Amino acid sequence: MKRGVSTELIGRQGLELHQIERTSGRNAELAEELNVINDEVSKMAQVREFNDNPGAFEMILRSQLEREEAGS
Amino acid sequence: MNTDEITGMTLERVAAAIRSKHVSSVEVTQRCLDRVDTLASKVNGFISVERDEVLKAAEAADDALRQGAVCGPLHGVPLAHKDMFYRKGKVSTCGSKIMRDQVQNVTSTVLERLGAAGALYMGSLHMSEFAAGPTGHNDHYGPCRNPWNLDHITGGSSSGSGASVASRFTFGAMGSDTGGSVRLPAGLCGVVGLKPTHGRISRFGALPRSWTNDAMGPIARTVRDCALMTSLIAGEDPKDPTTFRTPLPDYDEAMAAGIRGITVGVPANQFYDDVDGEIGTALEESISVLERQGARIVKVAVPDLGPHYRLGDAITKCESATIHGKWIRERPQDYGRVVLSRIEVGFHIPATRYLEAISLRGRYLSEFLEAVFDKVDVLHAPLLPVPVPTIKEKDYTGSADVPESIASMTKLTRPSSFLGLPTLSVPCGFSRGNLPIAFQLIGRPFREADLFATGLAYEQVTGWTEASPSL
Repeated sequence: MKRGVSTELIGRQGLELHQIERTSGRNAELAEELNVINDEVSKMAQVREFNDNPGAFEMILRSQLEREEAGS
Repeated sequence: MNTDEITGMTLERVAAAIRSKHVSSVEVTQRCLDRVDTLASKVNGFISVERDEVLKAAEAADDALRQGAVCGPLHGVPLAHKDMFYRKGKVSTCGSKIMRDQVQNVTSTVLERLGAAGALYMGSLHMSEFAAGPTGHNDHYGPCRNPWNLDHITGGSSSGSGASVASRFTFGAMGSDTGGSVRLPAGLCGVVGLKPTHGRISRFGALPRSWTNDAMGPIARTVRDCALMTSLIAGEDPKDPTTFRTPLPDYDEAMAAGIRGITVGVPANQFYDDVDGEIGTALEESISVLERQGARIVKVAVPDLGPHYRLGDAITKCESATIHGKWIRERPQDYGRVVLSRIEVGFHIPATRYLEAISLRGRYLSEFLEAVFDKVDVLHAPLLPVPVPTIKEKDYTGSADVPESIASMTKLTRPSSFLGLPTLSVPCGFSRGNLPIAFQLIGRPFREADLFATGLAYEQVTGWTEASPSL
């Protein structure tokens, strides 16, 4: 199976999902950029575990703050 | 006092001089306006100047002082800010064509707090369009120019803030930082800038670029001035639920304590991979200075910065596409080409990729805290690995050039934004082309005090922040 999104798919997504019309040259640039981002984020996401969630970041900051306050 | 003596003062000194009536607010304001009139067009630092309003406010400040009323620590001091901090009833262009005539109906919390401390609003400063660009280019308002050499970039997106503080047009300025936008223009213009911990300073009433990565921070001439501004604007804000309720530390006390006993980490990997020779020499010297000032220096292995850069960038692109979606559909021709090209890909990143990136933020923060801040108090790192580029070198010719060129500017600054860590940029010399070099000090969450103490210990014995460009 061919990997990555095509220029045509970017063009169709732009038009049909977002009502944005672009030249095919620009769609090709976006397809290339998207494929890089998509591949890299997918690879990095392999370290994700089932319970990782967007709220964890603030919880860590809050626990750091509590540690600071307890220490001061 | 003549114009140079007045405009050459630090924020702390000019505020004290006005309070003690050694100089009036009107005199200070008029001298700043004179300097702006004479020189600001050279650097293209201002988008608008509020001459009549600020002089009237200065007169009121002097009247109040004569009656014994002091508004706050910045009583009567004229400041100017990146043109993206909203004021009720006024336009904030956000460096764009689209918002050029839009009157805002709220006032940003940071401006309210600076106003409550007595500061006056002198004008609105140049910025990259919609805070999207690390160089200071702007298709609508022209490029901002580095006061140390007008052919070179200022860094962005808080381009006017860095250039105007360095040019002695204003004593301090607010900026915003989503991937380096306070630290780069501060460092590239030879002044000091803080990106605070996520949740330390309110973002209410400021232009959003990325809800996840945005931080508002001060740019000032010295570390002490930066600490002063931070102490006035930081803290919980009910209008911004991402702010944390916690008492602010006494930054003066922290700076007075010095850095004996502080451990400063020097990255053993990653940060120095592409550092140019003369930049590396200046950074090495700055580490030696910190050691002589009493810091313990240790090498520390840092986690891979690649995921921080890439995940932070993917998040910003998705959020920006959401923020700008309506205007990009309805009036794409009103966006600058580079800005549009940076946002556009965000429409096509799958929602699952975005959520993967956001859900990994905690894991990567945890990893960084353990690897670095279990061993050191402050991490010392390069800001920009190469000498300040020229405006021409960074004037992208096509959309396909943009991602790589942006990465070359922000690869060392974006990680702190993704991780939400406080980071201070401090000048540490000049390159052969007489353009500023700077380092970053990265701290534990909510430990801005460590950064101010370390930055001040360096600044006190080197004096780089006393240098002033001749325009």
